Amino acid sequence: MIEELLSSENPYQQHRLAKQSMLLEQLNELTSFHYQHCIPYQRIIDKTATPQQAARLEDIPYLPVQLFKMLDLFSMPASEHFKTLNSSGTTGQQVSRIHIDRTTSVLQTKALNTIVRSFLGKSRLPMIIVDNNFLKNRLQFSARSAGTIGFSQFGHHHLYLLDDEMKVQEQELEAFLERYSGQPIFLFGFTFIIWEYLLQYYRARNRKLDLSGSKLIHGGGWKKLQEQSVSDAEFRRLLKEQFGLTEVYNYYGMVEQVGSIYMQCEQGHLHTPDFADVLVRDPDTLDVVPYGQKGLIQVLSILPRSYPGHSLLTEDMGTIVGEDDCRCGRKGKYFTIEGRLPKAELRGCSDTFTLQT
Amino acid sequence: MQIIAPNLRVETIDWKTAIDHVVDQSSLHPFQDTAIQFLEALSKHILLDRSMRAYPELMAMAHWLRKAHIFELKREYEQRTSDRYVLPRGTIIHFAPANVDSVFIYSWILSMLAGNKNIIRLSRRTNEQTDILMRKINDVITRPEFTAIASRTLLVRYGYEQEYTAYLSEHCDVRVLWGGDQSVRTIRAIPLAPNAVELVFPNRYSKSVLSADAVIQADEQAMAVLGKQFYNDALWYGQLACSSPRELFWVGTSESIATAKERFWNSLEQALHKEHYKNEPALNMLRLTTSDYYAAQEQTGQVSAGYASAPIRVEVKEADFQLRDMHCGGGLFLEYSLPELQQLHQHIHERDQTLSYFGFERQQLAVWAMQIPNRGIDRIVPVGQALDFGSVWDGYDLFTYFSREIAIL
Repeated sequence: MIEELLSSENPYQQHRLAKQSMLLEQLNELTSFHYQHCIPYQRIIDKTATPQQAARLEDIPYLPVQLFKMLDLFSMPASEHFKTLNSSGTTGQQVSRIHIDRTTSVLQTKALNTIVRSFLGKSRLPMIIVDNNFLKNRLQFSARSAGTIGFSQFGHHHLYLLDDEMKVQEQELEAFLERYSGQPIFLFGFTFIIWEYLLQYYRARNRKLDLSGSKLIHGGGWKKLQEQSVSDAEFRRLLKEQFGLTEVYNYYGMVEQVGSIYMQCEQGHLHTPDFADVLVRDPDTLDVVPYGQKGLIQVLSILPRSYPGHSLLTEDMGTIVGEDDCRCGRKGKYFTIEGRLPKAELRGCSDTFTLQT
Repeated sequence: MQIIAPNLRVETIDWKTAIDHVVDQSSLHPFQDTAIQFLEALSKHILLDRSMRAYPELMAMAHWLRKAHIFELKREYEQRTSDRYVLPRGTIIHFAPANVDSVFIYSWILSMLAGNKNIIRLSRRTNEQTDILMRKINDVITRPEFTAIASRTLLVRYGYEQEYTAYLSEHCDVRVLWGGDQSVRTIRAIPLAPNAVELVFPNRYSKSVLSADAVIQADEQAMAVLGKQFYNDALWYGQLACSSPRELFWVGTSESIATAKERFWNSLEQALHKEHYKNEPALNMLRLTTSDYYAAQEQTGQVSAGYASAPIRVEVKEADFQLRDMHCGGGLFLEYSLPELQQLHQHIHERDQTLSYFGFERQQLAVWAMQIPNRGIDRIVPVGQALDFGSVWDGYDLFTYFSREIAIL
């Protein structure tokens, strides 16, 4: 079943009822699997008196995503450990540690493939990575570089557009565009980096660049752009105006569920692929809220085998817009992300000074 | 450096001059009339303002400043100093904790009553309660009749600037540090004047002990009071004040404990409901994450959670001091069951500050306290008084530290 889903040319074709019953069966199986193979997970289920088998998707037990910062959770023997993924985090912050075996890694790669190919097409395109070449600089190895490596497989002759000072390497870019003139190019980068080091670079110099017909995929969150009050629509408008880019796709995803990414369609909606889903919960009661109501995003995915991450409650706020009827034609739920839960202001007798690190 | 109070000296731009001005004043006498009158005026100014009822912590503080209570402190002071020659130390610099809004008030006032001049450093982080309190202080301290207090008081706000801390440390006679361990370390690295002394209040941790039989025997009204008082102790500062109980020890047979727990948590939930207690969603998420972390540990038992902001309870089967380090506040309780009070000794950590109790005799607890095997526990108080500030705090008699004695033979 999962093999079929992950090799499909269109990962957005399951209708509501079929998808729900398939996900329910798969996710229930995963809950049992992790219950048997991950003792801390078993303890959590048992001690919180959570039923293991759910009759509805909303009854699937979930873990708060931040728990992976406090605990190493995995459902495999140490001998099968293949790699550990770390979330990004500012200095001093705890990072998530996600333990991956070969099986899960393969599933993640396949999932990302089927999703991205359905947007970019089957053949690989010449690729511009809007970032500096972190391969030269091992110290920087992070969630950002891991994401970039994942997407690199969809392009060839990769050009790392920025130098070590994050400045556009104009000569290299010119040569690249000349070499592939008339061909669509695949551009990839993190939302904030594209904004700050590509868009602002050309805007400040009041210069345009012709990238029409090319495709841009970007992700990594809106937090920094929200601080500058830049909306998704504004971001797209400027990319069109400055570079003639009309095929711009944002994606939502996290290191805790690599592979299950939610791509933005031409209508501006994030889409759930056939093997993943989202639920929205009220931030106060944690009850599931109706479509159209904003709340905390819970992500469901049938990929995580090596760690109990198939059902996670995130701290991202979002709204489900609808299901199966997006004008782009894709089936499944479609939604928007509207920022993150504001951090709790803790009151307590601590921290006269907080050290700046 | 921003000077917050008194907001008289607007023309004084230079921070050094402002500090020097306070340091150069003569000290007052202990319990001098103007100090008592000032505190009475401040207390009234807060208590008579109906809008202040929204801030029970500030109301409790204003209550503490009432004339009757100040006279109690005066009697306490006089008892300790009778037949002795006691004077103020001079200038005291208080480093207030960033987030417990009112605790700096207590150390300031005890020091003022001992006759000292006071400089209080607040962090850059502001909150509603502190802002209101500052406004109230300024309203009163700027009155002409309190010039003597205004010229001996300086409330300042600054961030991480070592220059300020160094200057203040060089010019004070006592440095009082309230704060987290890291903050205490940072400030302690800055030298004090050779003849100055230091008082340190780092992170502490508190717990409650309840007799299951006493809870079972309490009538409905007593249970409602217990619920409300425990609510105040635990949740006024989101369970993050040093004195807020985070662990609960039940003493009794397992059957009586089961019955008592049900009564107790019901009464607490009613109190929460009455007070419309609600955590920020982000705190609820942190609490959910922390309780899952607890559930994943071997030494814990059942984890019970109710509706969103209701208390989360974690049964602990084996003593483990590591569990407490993960505690996040917001109504999360680690529960232990003990057959007898005596077994509580093994759960006392050096960092423990307040033990609040229900259903035990003071004498029984005094005997128990004298056998504590380490330096843990500085206060043992009935449930409902965990947050009440006293002139003996964290094992220090503050009046003694804020005074100097002349030996005359």
